[in-house]
Amino acid sequence: MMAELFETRGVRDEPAHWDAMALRVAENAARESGRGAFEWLAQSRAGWIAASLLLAAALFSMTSAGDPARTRGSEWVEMVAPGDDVGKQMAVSETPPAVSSLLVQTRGGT
Amino acid sequence: MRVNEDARADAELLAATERGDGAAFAVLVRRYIRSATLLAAQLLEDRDEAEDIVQDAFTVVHRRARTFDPARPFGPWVFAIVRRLAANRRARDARRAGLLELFGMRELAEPPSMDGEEAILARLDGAAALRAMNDLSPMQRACIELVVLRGLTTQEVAAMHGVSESTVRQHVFRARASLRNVLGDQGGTDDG
Repeated sequence: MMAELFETRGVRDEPAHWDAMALRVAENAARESGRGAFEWLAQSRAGWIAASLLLAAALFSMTSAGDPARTRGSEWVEMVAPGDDVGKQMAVSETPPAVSSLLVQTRGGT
Repeated sequence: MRVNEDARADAELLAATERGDGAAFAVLVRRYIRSATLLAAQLLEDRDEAEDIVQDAFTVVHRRARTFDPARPFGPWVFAIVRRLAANRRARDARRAGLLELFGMRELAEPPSMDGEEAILARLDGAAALRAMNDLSPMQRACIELVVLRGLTTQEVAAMHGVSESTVRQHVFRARASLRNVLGDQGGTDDG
């Protein structure tokens, strides 16, 4: 009767029960622990922190290296720009050149 | 070979587990599953939750087999994992209950009542046994339960609860004395 008042009252205490439970637990544990690092990354707090740091590092490297699409575009513009100084300056420069500088260059170039 | 008939030491079984020997791991689990489950049941007061925690604990053991120091005993390691997981589970349940209470859903936060608990209490001869139990500290109750009712050694119980063997013996002694005081006068006996 006293046993019914203790916390383990619901626990079956027979060797056959423990044998079966041990096999089940061992099998599940082996399966669960074999799921690998990706699941750990997805489930653990440390995994989320690691993933966030990686993402931040990737973003930083992208922004610090400049816009690759823009760089590629600039290369194309330079490639197809006219060969003469004035034409090249007008095609490549991001802002329109001053008229006076064009005149000076044109005179100097011819 | 049955899972409880292997004379290899714990560290050997764990090393074999690390090499992918599932049978060795099953032997190791069988060796500790009873005490681990009883410990979890004491900490969580729920058999199903206790079995969940034990499953999780052995999953941790399997995953971290490589990190285990073979010079140290295996039992205290696995029991420490059980205690930590049980503490986490209790904290989670407390947070959940707090949230439910916050949103006025207290009745859902109440744990389901133990099957037949009221019936058991109703069958008790008076309130003496209940009073005797309530007079025990949680550790006295835990120790006398494992030593007297479940037949574990004081050494095993000490490892399970992470205390010294002499502490366990003290708890058992005081619990026995307390139960005798309350029940003795009324003709009741404790199971030890």
